[in-house]
This record gives sequence, C-alpha cells and structure tokens, in this order.
Amino acid sequence: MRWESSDVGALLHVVPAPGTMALGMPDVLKIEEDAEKKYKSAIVFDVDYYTIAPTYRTQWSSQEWIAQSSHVIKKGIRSLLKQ
Amino acid sequence: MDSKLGRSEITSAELVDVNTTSIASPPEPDPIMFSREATFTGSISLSDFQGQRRVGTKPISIDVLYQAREAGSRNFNRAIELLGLASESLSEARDAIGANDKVACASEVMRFEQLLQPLFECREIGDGFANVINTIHMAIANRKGEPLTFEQINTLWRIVRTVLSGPFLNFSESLVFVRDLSKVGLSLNNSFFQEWASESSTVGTEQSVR
Repeated sequence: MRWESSDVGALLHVVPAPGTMALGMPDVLKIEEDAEKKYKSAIVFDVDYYTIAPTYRTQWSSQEWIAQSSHVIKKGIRSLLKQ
Repeated sequence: MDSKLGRSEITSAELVDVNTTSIASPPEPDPIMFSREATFTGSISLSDFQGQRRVGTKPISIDVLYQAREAGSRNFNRAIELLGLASESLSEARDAIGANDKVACASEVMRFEQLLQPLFECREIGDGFANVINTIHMAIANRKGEPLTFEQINTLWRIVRTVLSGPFLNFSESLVFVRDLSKVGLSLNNSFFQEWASESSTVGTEQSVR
C-alpha cells in the first residue's frame, strides 16, 4: 500500500508473522500448567517513509528525521488499524 | 529453538492481535483520503506504483519534513520557533522603514536582538548555525547603538529566512552568510577572524574540487 502527498510518501508492506510465540507470564498468573504458552499472532509492518519534494542538504538532519518520522509512522499505523 | 527465534523476530515488530478474516478480506479498491490524524492529506493506492515518479520543483517545507515536533529535540524546536519570531520582527522592521516609522523600526530591531542570545543557546544544531547567529550578534553589537539601514535589515531578514528553511548548515556554508553580512557593513570588525574565515573558505573549496 502506497500513500503519497506532494511532499512525502510511505510504502507500507503488511505481513502476518509466521509461527507462534510464547509470552513469559508472572507466576501469579500461571493458573494452569501451560499458562505461560500464550499464543499470539502478529503483523509485521515494513514501512518505507520518504520525501518526494526536493530536500536541501541544509534541511536534513538524520537524527531529527528518524526521531520525528518514526513518531509519525507509529501514529499513522495506529490510525490505520482503527480504520 | 523455534519459540526463541519466533520471540526475537516478533519483539522487533509491532504486535497486535490478528483476526484472520480481516487479513483475508479484500482491500477497498478506491483511493482513500487519509485525513483523520494527519496534518495534511494524500491518497493511498493499493497497487504498486506505476510509471515515472512525480518529483516537485518546490523544496520541501521544514514543517512538513519535521512534522512531529513533540518527538523532536528541544534545541531544534526552540530554534525554529525563535527563527520564526526573528523573521517576523525583521519583516515588521522592513515595513516600518517603508512607512518611515523609525521608532517602530528600532523597536522591532531590538526585539530581534533579544532573540539572538536564546538562538545562540541552540547552537547544538550545528557549527554553521552557531556561526551565523554569533556573527549577527557581534556585528550588531559592533555598531554600538547605531540604527540599522534598510539594506542591512533586508539582508538580515533574508538570511534569517534562509536559515529558518535550512538550519543544518555546516561551517563552510555559513561563511556565505558571513560574507553577505560583511558586504552591507555588518561584520565582526576583526581582521584576524576575517582573514582566517576567508582562508578556511578557500581551503574548503579547493578540497571539495579535489
């Protein structure tokens, strides 16, 4: 799924994670013998987030970009899941 | 072994409960306007991008490039805010000169000067940013209270706006602005520094050519 505005864009690959996983649980919650084997399925989001409009070198700080873009992506994914 | 592998893979990803029917259901065929929490709108396409990618000619705005200010660094956020105020003050000063209102102009220039100290405190952004702010600060101080001319205010306004749209200057790039300021009589008035700056600039250019 690709999303684009005139300035930035995102390419989103959504893949169901293979297999199952066991989550560690606190002892107080282990009522049954196999209680710690809590099976969950998962989705892996692979996001390519990029700029479309030209970006000057003086505008670019990888430190700021990564921190702020990851925040935008997390917000966007939550919004997408709600829809 | 498998469970360990599974755990290590999944912890790095976003974990959610999955309803298998929702994965299998076909997506909406039409583009969706995505405006719920985003600060701007765009369209979603569900197929691979076809054809030549469109590339705009207008440079990206710093507000769009860094749109999650709550996750940004304190210095960056503060610098952008202060540069915005500085640009506004200088713009008002230009208007005041145009209206031949010297008092309003001086007032706006003083407001601009008050922003230079907090701007310099944001110098972690980069050496170039620090150099530009420091040069402006010292150049105005060296005028010893003489009012700035229209040309000087105009140059300061242009420089502040350029730094606002691209604050991550390196030192060599900042020397262009230092020279621009010097041309309109706003300089450090320090011959040693000026010679050293011009030599650094020349060396930097030669190295980049090599």
